[in-house]
Amino acid sequence: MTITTNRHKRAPRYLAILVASGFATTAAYAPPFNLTEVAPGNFVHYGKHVTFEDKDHDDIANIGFIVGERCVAIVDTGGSISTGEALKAAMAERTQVPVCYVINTHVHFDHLLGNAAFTAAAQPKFVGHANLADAVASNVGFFLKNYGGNLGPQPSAAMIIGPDTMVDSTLELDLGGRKLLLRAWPKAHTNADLTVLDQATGTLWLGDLLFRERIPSLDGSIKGWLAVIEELQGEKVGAVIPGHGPAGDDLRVALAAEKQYLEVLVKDVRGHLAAGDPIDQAAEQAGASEQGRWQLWEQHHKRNVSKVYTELEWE
Amino acid sequence: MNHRSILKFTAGLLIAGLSITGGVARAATDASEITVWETFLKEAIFKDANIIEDKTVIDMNTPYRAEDAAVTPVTITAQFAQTPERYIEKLYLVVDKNPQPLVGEFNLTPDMGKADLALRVRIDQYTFIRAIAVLNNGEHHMVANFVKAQGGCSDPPQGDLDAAMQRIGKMKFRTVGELLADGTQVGQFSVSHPNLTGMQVNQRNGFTIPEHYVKTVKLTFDGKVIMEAKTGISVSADPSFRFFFKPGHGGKFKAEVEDSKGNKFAEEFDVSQSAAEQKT
Repeated sequence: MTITTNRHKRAPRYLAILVASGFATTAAYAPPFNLTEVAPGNFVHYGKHVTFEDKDHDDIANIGFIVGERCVAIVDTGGSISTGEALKAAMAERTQVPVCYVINTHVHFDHLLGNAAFTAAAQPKFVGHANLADAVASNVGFFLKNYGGNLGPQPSAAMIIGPDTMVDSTLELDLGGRKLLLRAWPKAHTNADLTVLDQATGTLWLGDLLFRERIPSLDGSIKGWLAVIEELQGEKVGAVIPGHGPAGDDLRVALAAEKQYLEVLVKDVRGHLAAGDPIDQAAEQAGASEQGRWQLWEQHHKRNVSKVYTELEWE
Repeated sequence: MNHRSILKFTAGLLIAGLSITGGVARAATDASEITVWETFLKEAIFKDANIIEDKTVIDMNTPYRAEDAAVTPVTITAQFAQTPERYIEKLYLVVDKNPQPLVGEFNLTPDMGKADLALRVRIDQYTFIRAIAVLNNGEHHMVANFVKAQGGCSDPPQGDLDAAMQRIGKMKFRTVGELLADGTQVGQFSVSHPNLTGMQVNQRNGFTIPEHYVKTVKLTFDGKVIMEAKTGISVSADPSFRFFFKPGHGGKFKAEVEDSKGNKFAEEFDVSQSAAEQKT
């Protein structure tokens, strides 16, 4: 099925070509607010690979929107209200139809704290995994303490917007001439991972179930994540949009590096456990062969090892 | 004052102190950290004991930045062997800014051979962590490290709590590495327990999960006590301890654990002569 609205025909296809031909990085990261139409009607803003301490830490996740004939679905809103506002402004240059859904792929601040930018105008539905509301509720204190400034000069719990529409297994959303299939996954990257498939173009938005270039971070279950990857990689889809890093056009290929990293972690940590090595030794040594393949290694790798160690210790 | 009331007492003092001084918790400077220790904790735990801050008795290794605040590795290293004449009879571990600062009290014996101890703790915010060794002559020696970490006490239980409750009280013991020239060998003991802090939230219904933690751990080898510990919620889930002991010609390693709900768990492990002398 192809999209036939005039608006979509006018969309700048050369950007999609740039992505396909490998210019995505340079094209996508140009200031002030990059936006790439990865597939017709699927617009991605690429986040930067910087640390949580960096001044641009509120703009590290891939966020974007999908345009239907009737309305727009936002997929993740960035790590601050200002990032969410910037996404909204970029969207307004592409379409006049209102936002009817704001979808969050999981609970992490860099994907969710921009939600408040979308509350006022059209009163969209906020959509997430069945576990997302509780996950947001239990993170409010953490968000306010660590990222309060990202909500503006007077941060409050009311500015942290959780979902009002929950997905237990799957949910179809109709944007008018374009239907999205949302799918909730078992515990993997987090306990509230959700993917968004644009059925019109076959574009799959994976949130942080897929990291590329930037080191994956584990907050759920390594065994669960590998099981989800196993299931995902057989899916026939078009463009794939990760939570971090460039879009791809082959899901299995796009997942390969992350899958290898997670498998190396499991193998190495099992080795350390068998040898009776303590957790700090495992954190120093496990996964070392992967170090050159990922950006911001220091940000998450040792923590990942720690999570894997405690998960596998009593398996 | 018994151990339990000290834990409650110090936590109460700390909270009271923080509310009086307003911003202590947020101003994670060295100065404010020292204030917490000097003002509340030192007296609450050690009364007027003279505490010498030096590394002649113990040293301690902690990560400067704890990658996983719920599971921060701490290794205390003794500077000399345990002998009946001179030995470390007690180790205290304190995390200044944790809701329950006293991680545990560990009674040790000359039968350990060497009073090293490694365990994993929760760290709730940027804080000093202190180990205080009490020698058999009554001297107190302290080492303190600053650790950057946060959120460890309210981190949701690792993995699936139902699964964790299924295996509660399950124990593991093993020797690690080879028998050393001084007759000691590393032993590693773990007990599966969610060690719930009372500050974690049930992700399904948003309610706080009541505290439920390992309260005492007694480890003996061949009938001789190696370590007897009183612990609290600052110990990570699935408590794990590494220490030295003297396996000799083998024998029975026994672990007894009691938790805050009065559950008692015990298990014996055979340490065979060949295992004790075998290189692993």
